[in-house]
Amino acid sequence: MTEQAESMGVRIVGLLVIVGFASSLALWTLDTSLASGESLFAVYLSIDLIAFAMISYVYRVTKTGDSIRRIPLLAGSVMLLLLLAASFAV
Amino acid sequence: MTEQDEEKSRSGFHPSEEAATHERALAKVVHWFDNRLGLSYELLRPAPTYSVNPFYWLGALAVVAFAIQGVTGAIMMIYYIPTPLQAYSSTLYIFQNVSYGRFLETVHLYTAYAMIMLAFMHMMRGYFVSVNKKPRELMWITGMVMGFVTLGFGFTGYLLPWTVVSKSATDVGIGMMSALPQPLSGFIQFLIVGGGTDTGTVLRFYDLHVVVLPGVLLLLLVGKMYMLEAHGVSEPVAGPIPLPEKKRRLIPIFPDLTIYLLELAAMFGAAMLLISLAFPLNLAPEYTPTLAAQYASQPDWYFLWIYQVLKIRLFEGPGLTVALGLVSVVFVALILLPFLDRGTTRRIASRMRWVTLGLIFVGEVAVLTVWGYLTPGSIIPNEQAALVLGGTAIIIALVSAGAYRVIFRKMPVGTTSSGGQTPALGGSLYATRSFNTASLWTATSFVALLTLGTFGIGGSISGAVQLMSQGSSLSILTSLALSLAELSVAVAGTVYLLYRLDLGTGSIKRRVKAFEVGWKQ
Repeated sequence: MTEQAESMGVRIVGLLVIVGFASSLALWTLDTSLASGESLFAVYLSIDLIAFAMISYVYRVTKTGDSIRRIPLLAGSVMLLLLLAASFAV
Repeated sequence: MTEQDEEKSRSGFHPSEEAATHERALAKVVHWFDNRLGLSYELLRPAPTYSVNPFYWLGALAVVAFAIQGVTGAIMMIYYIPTPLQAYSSTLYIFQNVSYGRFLETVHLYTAYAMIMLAFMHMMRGYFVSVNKKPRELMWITGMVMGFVTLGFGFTGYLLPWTVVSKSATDVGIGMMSALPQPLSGFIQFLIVGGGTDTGTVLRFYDLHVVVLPGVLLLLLVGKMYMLEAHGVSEPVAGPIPLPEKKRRLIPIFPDLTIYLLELAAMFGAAMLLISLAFPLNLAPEYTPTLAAQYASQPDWYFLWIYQVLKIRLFEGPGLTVALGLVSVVFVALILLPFLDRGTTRRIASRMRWVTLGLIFVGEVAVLTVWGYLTPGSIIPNEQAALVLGGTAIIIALVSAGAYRVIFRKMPVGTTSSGGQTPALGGSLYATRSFNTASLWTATSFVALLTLGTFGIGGSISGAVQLMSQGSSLSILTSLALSLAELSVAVAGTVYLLYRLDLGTGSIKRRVKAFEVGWKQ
């Protein structure tokens, strides 16, 4: 694995931990009596799950000594951004 | 000494030899079961790196779907009341009054659909790469029974909301089962209908759905996991080029493989949540006999292909038993597959007959499902059924035969990826990034082929029939041309799919050349 890819992986994991933590926190603040709460619940939980999957991916690949591929990370990041945007729109 | 013993003694047969023969026979039986059930193997063996691939874990994803259903179902059980008078109102209560109730019901339904689809994909993948061969015969049979239990979940769960759609569809299903020969019909009737009252039926369906079937599935799952642990994951069918050492390296179950499975489960969970958010469930009206008379009864999509067969005019009345018999033959053949497909090779190139049969099965199921969806409640004329079903089978068989001829004619018969009589080319070709994405590409091609092929075949046959019966017009000709174009793309897809399945990725020329170089060495 190149140093560049490794440092990218570490940086992205830091960000993902923050995103995952923030979305978990947001899940606890939801008002369950509101209709929009249902949509926000799905969006925040999805953000959490995707962030978890990406962190696991980086950990697993780093551990086995394989190179981190950009496509899964980019696809996951785009998905997270879209969901974050959607959480404001809901 | 008795007369019989004297007789044996004269013929040179001694009692000790008889005992030894019995012992050998017993040992043979024990050995057969030990080989398959792994009674004497160590547990939690590490897995090879090539199993870090979603296609190896389709069954595991079905289990994840089952777990999600368990959680959502357990929450719904708090509110649901299994009586004909309150089933609908309690479901409506969950929809309208329980926090996130509608979302809960939607997730429960979609994960059930996903579980059925994943189980089907898991089975067909196993069929095409022939994982049912020795010593995995019992694993295959257990998996098939688990598949039927999964369908049982769908059948029993569908009735519970007591909507006009679900009750009518279930009545059709129960009616079909009564056409089965005795004592099977009587047993099923006793199991699911009981005394024949609606109260008894709902209660029995509820009991089967939340207690009996989950229990049976869990027991079977434990058995299958045990056998998976005993045999390990199956080797990939990678064609004549052996896998590189890197792909064969063993990784521990924990944490490496566990983390990978959690990754898959997280992605699957997120997908289910977002699909449920995008397409929320709408509850159909409550069942009343008057309202039911206005609906064309139709089962849910996973039973539609069977229902479409039963709608063929030939199978009306007494013919229904024959149709159910035919469907049962397909199921029994699938269960007994390890004892029918007895060849030793797992290579797709060497199993044209079985691969073609599998493609025809998938094609027919897809065509019947789409057809059933498009023609609710209508009886299918015999000629039309023969044309569509026969046409589908013939077209798929021709495409498959053509693809085999084009792709595999120059390929000598090899063994599995572990080598054997195949030449060693080194791992350079497989040690590419493209190998890692090959399975994803294969799945995408497979789905595209299935979709295009289904519409292409259906449209072409329908266009041809219209052309013959109504004469040529611009709209008919355009529709026919489009369908033929779809079919052509599907044919090209088949060729490409088969190529990828057996040879990995890269250009055909490069592969053939690389193979020939290796073969000469």
